[in-house]
Amino acid sequence: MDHPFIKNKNIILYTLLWVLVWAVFTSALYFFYDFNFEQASVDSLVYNLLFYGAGLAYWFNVRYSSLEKSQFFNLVVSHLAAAALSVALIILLSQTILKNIYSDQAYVAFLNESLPWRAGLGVLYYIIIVLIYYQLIYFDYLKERSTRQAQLESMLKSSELEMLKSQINPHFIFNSLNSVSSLTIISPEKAREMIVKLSDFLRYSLGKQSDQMNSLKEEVKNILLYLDIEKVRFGERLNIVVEMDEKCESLFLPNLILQPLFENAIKHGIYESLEKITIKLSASCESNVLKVSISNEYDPNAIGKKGKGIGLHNIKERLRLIYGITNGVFIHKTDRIFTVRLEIPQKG
Amino acid sequence: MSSIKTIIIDDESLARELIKAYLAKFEEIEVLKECEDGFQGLKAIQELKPDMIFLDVQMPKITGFEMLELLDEPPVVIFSTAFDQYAIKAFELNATDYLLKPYSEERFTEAVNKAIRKIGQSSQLKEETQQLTATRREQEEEIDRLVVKTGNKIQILPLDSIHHFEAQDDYVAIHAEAGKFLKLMRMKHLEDGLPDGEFIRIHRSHMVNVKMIEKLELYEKDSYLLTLKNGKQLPVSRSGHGKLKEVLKY
Repeated sequence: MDHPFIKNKNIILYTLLWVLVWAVFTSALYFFYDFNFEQASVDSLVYNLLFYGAGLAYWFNVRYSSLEKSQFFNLVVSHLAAAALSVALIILLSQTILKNIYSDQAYVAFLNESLPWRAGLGVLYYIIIVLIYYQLIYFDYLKERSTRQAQLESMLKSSELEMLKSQINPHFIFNSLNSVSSLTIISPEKAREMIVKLSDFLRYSLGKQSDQMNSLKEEVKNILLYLDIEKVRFGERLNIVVEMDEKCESLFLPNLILQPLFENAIKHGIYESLEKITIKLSASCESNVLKVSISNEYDPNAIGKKGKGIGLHNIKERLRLIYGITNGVFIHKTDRIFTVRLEIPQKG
Repeated sequence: MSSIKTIIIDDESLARELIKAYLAKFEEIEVLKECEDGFQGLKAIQELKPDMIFLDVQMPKITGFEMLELLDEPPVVIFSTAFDQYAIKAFELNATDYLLKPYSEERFTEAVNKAIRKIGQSSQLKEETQQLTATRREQEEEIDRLVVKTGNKIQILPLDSIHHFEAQDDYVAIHAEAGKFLKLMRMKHLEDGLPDGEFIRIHRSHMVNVKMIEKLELYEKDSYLLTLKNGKQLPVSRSGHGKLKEVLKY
């Protein structure tokens, strides 16, 4: 964040406020201490001009000391030190300058006598200015958060349909229904089984809001349902391996975020090969990060249709908008195995 | 009446089972073979010369469309696929039929009857199937690889491996890493279908891979000569030069 008083012509407002302070200070000296106007205004100018400058500098103390709880003590110390030092320095400077301008005894006596309240006033200036800075930082933070939130919402809304479309490939549904149609002749029990699986899968996938979070356990259950259905279609060609650390099961991830990855694995693994293809899901968790890897074997000789990378892009975009992270998706490719790893931070 | 020979080409066994089950009613139809991908399909068609095939679009290795393109004398084709986005209408006019999975037995029977009628009038057959492949070419979206045949061998050429194209009458000669191949198609089709900015039509009969360009020099007044990284030199027409300028931004 840039200096809030300097950007956007705010410096004019800041200066005007100080002119006002100068005027009040001058009038106080003029009316209550019976100085002539010239002396009152010069005294006020020297004293307040120094604080005008210091006020701008206080920003750096606010900006570069963070507000985290663990550092609260450091923060207090830093502000006390800054307040004491700056006020002492300014009073010393202003007294010296003013004594050089007006050296009559009565005025020097007044200067010495006024020391306590000048110091008090200085501390008050410090507190007010610093509080204003904190307010501005807080507003800035709120504004940023609400823009991010708004961005997230609009993205979710506009792309909700689009995302569902990309998550559940319609060809998958039609091909599965065709398999069911075939099973009704060959094996009606298996056909019923398949219909139930397909229904469960669709109920889970279509009923969800895009911004909803689900536990890993639920997500994996649904993915296995999906893979089960694909297994009916592709038979022995599809081999599934799941390696999941049980303690991660209750951790959360955005719903259906794994679906496009499995669709890709099927598309590039199964669709392009006649060999048996293993798709592996593994999950582990450490220090508040859930790591989920999906890998698939592929036929290195297949010159497949190149994907457009929309699935991966959508996942990155969702992670960025939900968690504010840009490095949650990792891709690793060997000549036989393609792996995507998601690292999903856990809140709290 | 002699039996009608057919081949089923689909990578899903249940899909093939369904077709076989529906075909059981037709005594005159004999299923010679089932194939799991386009390569097997191509081989079986060449060896067994069926009258009719059932063809899926999305299969490992090469798609049903690509397979069909490689056939000199394609049999009657009934597509059976879950894909509806390839302008079904056009297909229904030109392919013998286009079955959208899942389909009913009535719909299937209708398609087979249509095919049987067509086999009866086999003289028209060749022409119409050629029309089918032509239609597909017209409306195809983006080309991302090319499938060619030399003798009995099928080659899939990724775009990266292609150096340049050269028009030769009704054919296009594809000069690629793997060698030179002839394919029955028009330059216009390539120009429309290849990804923008990756290939440039530099001349009425030449199109080059941008990544393969080594240098461009003035040959005579207003006429340029392009040298490829493999040393080959090609003429550049005036409008071709304009396109080069646009894509290479010099």
